[in-house]
Amino acid sequence: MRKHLKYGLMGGFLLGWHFFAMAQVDQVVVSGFPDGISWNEFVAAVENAYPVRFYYDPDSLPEVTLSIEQDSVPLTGFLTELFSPYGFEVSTDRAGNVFIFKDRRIRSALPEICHITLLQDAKDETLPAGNEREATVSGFLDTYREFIVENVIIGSKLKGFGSTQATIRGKVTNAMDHSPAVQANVYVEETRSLAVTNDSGQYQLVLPLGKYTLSVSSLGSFDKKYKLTLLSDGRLDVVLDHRVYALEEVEITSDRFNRVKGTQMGYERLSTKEIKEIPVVLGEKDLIKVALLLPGIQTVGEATSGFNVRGSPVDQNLFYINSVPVYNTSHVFGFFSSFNPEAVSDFSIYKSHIPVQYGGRLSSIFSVASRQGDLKKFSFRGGISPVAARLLVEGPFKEDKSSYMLAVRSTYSDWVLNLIKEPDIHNSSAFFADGIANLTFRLDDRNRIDFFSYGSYDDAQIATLSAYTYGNAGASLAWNNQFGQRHSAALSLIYNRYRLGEKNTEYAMEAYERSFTLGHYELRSSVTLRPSLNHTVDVGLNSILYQAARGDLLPYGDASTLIPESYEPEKGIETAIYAGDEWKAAPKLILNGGLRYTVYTYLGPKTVFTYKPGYPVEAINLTDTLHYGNNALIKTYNGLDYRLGATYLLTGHLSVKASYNRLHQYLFMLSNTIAISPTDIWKLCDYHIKPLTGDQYTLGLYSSLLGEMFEVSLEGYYKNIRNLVEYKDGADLTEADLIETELIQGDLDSYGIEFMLKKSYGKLNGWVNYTWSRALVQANNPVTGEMNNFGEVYPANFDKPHSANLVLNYRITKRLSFSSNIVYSTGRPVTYPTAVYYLNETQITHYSRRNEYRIPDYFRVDLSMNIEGNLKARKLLHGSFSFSVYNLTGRNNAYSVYFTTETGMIKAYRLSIFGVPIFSVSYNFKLGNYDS
Amino acid sequence: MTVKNILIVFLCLILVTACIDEYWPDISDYEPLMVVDGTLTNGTGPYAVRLSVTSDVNHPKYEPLPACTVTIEDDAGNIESLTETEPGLYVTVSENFRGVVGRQYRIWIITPESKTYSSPFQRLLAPVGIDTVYTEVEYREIPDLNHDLAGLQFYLDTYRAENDSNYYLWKLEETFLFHTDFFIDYLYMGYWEQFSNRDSVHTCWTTQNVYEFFTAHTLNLTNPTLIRYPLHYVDTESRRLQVKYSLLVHQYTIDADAHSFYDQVRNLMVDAGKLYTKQPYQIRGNVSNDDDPGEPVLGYFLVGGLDSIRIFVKRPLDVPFYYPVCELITDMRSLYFMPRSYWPIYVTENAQGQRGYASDACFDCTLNGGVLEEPDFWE
Repeated sequence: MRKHLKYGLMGGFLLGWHFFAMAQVDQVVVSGFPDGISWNEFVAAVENAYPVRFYYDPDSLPEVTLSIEQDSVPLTGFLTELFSPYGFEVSTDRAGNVFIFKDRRIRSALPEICHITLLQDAKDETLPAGNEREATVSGFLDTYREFIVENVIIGSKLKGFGSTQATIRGKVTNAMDHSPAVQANVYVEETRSLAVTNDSGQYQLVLPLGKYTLSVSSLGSFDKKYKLTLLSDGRLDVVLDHRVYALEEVEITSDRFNRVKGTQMGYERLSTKEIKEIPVVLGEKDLIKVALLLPGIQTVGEATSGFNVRGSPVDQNLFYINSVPVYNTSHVFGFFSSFNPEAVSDFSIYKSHIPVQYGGRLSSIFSVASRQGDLKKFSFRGGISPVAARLLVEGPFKEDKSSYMLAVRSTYSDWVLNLIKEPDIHNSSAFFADGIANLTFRLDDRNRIDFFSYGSYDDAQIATLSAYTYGNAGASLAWNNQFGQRHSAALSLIYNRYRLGEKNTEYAMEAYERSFTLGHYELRSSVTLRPSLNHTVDVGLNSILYQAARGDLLPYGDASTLIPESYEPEKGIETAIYAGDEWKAAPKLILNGGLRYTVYTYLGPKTVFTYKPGYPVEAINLTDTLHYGNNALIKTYNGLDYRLGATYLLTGHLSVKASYNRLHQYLFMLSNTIAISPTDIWKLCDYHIKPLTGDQYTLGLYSSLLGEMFEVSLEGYYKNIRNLVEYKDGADLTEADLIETELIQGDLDSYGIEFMLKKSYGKLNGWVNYTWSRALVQANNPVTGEMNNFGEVYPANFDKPHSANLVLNYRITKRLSFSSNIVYSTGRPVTYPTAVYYLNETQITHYSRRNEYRIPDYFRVDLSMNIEGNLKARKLLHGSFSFSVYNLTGRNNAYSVYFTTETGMIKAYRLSIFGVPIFSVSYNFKLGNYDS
Repeated sequence: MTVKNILIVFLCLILVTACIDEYWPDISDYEPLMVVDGTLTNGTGPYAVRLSVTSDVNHPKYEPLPACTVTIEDDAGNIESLTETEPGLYVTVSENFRGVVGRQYRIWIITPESKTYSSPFQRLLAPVGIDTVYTEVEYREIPDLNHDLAGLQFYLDTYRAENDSNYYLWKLEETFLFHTDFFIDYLYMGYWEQFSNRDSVHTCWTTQNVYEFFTAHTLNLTNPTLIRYPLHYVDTESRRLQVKYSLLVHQYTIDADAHSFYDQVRNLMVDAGKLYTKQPYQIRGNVSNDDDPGEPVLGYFLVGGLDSIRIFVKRPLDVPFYYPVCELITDMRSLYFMPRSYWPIYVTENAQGQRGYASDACFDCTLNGGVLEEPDFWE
């Protein structure tokens, strides 16, 4: 109600002012004219007596008889009455001119939206400035908006007395759906200051008091410019209008993160809008799969559920969705990512320089941000593909105060499979489901509470070899606060549980079932301070409790002669405290530095075996058995991370960046290359297995060409990782009791160079990248004499020297677009049997050196066609069809090559996941129109 | 096509396209490697060294390496030359050459391409004795078999060793006596001929190696004695235990390196029909190329103290046997229609005068890999 009153007041004020300007003429009151006076005489007399001039076409003006009934009458009203029956319009301007023309109203002044000065009430800082102004300037002149410069005074002289600088805070939202404009740029020309809005659309700028030109721009919206007078701390909220029709066909598909000017190195960011057209398996749009098309990011195979970033194993990447860590990021072994694409808004990857707030993994951080519920109105969207159906609903609980977003996705394949009589299919399963819920509560302008929860479940079978069930369940509760003038703090509690169950029935005699659970409980606190213009300081504390349980290994089925094994669970706590600063040292130089101190403790209850020092860690060298009670401190490790980076702008379009990071990691995944199917078992560093540490050096050149149409980058890196955990030569991959006897820790050296060319604008857009990289391992322990591969260097399991990706989108019309991917990479290394010989008449197999050979190269082409529904602006539901073919060439890309012995002969088999092109059609719908 | 059918088609595509096909990797740069298989002990000679060359994985074959010069040298300066008696088989000739406990030995090989190979000195350790080898009846469940597998599990006990750390390797040789199913009473080759020695080819002995390696050590034993160490298992699916079975056990007392080699080889051996579940890797032996130490040379020149024992096992009682037994064709009329290439056809006659015939191997044990001469050691 208060708002409407304001509306009214403002409106009244403006209108009144308008009329005031007009009133000079209107208020002319004519009197004392005799009846029957002719028009010409009337005109002459009025012009004489009053500061008025008449303009009209004498030839077309009708003959009128003037008769003034009253003694005095307002001139304009009188004239209007006189001429309107003849279809003539009367117009006036401030200068006292009167225009009388048929059917034409002369606009004598430009519309009154240019020069509004709004005086900010110093006491009432919560006065949102944007909305009201917009409301009064309704409807017309859309095309003028981008040239509008609004004058704004922020703060008051009184408040700013004695200060030399001030903070401007505000929120940028989209007019269309009131959603926050994320990653919008707020730029001040005079100081070349740039602020970027965060996930809530909020920004802060610290400037000295004075006058500035401030512009706000965002992807897909019209820019807004302000002539700012900064008197003291204050607020400037901005509403950006959606650019629905542009003169030229411009589909902006790149994010506005400025690769050249931004301080991040090895940073990629994708939003859902950008990947709309990229074809993926079975019509499920997949942000994570698209990440694979970026340079330096690969997988070891179609059905693996992790990434290799820059020659590092899958377990060295930390995956977050809204700060909840995810340990298995895909469904059905990597076919689809485990996030409902409707619920994902964007996705960032840090590959080179990892910000100090993150840690615990040596290679990269993937951070997925989910959509936040629309605070203004309810909406839903969804889609159906041959495999799954998905739905997202969002809306406010209380308008502008709290909102919800719920997204679910599920396959419906199970009931279909059960209907099929064919036994192989009848007994197969490929079920998955996931759900996301995001609740936001705005307590007040400075405090917000978010509750986020995520769950996924899979039940799948590969060929007839093994069946897996796995799932993630996680939640986080976070409190975000803004204090002081420009600082912010956050405190969150995070929980995640990952569970994996496996039944392997490849060989009935060895059939087994086992399960694994990893629990992650985290407390995270962080504070961001902006003590001055040039510094942004981040400090914080994180603590994570890990509980890993390898479950029991049990024989499965009647024929299995496997000996059951039961494993002790493990527990550990990883704590980190960090501080870092981003310092704008000079106009062209930005420096970034941080320290993160980590402490890790391995806790009981546990039975720990000790071995003879200086001897190989093998059962024969076992010396003692120690028993630790619950929560006893078994072993403590600590490490200091360094995060250093620098960005230097050589020109406005060319920058060079360098970074050095040292990181520590306290848990890892046991993996091998000869298994048919993945073994995603996480293990904590313990009494014997030391933490992994890594040093990464990167150097890169970034440039934008042809007015930011093309972005080119060249980045080189070198990583040295110590204490990498590998299976020993001859290790029993099913052994787990004395797991330390099957493992050896060595060094991993990986280095490479990534080239990327991206075209973000135009009908034809996309990117191409090529990466050359090597990842080499050396496991040679001089103390115990243990070594792999004779102590020589061998390629890591994920070493893929060449990798190239091409993504092309071609938008024919707004409704029809084509897209294609071409992916190539060298095959994964593998150890092959190379010869046969006889000892004592017994046949023996001879193998190559470790990972000396490679499985065949990976090559794939995908195509898709996207047809959008009609482009009406006002419609209830908008739908689109997507036709795609995955693996167009039908190449049998080998996932693994494995061996068995049959009748004295060694036989090799190749398992490929997709041996034929997969066609699919899917239908997507959402409330609203094409752009919502 | 209904929606359901379309869905079914798509889903089948997902599941069915995941395929496993036979595939052989391209290992075209494979070059044959030399294999050394030799043993020197303190037992009576001659000692043999087999030199061979590896074969392609797809065409496994024993490829001997002939025309090499092989000598054994000890740390007292003695050199013994070996003579090639068969292609690839080199044996010591002098009768008074015998391995001496406590001495160190190594091998020298010069190939026809004039490459020289040698092994490091290995000490011949004093052999630890075998106390006893014995058997126990054991039944095992096997999938795809409709009955439990029956057989004898062999076990071994050693004597207590003098030292605490001992490494052992066992090689086994089995000899068994077996009978064919029928006696030859007549021969038919278009006419009948009575056969006088009906049991002349009825009983044979077969001697062969047991194709497994057995290794053990006494490092984490409180008492350096092995008790009930499991050797191999002989089942009743074959005729080995039909009448009498003999096992010759050679126990080699070896050093840690030799044990490591055989243990690794044993570790990576995969039973038929099973999946490779161990991280495979390259194993090299103790012989190396003097000019190129990086060249892989496979196999081992073993120097060890030897103790042997032979045991005899009679047919186990109350244990079911499942070896295939011949079926006699008793319809004599069909005999006359057998083609001439089968002549002479062996015919047997039972006490009731009923005659029958079957394939030759059912009568003649030499056709089953046996020999008619009783081995010297046979009891």
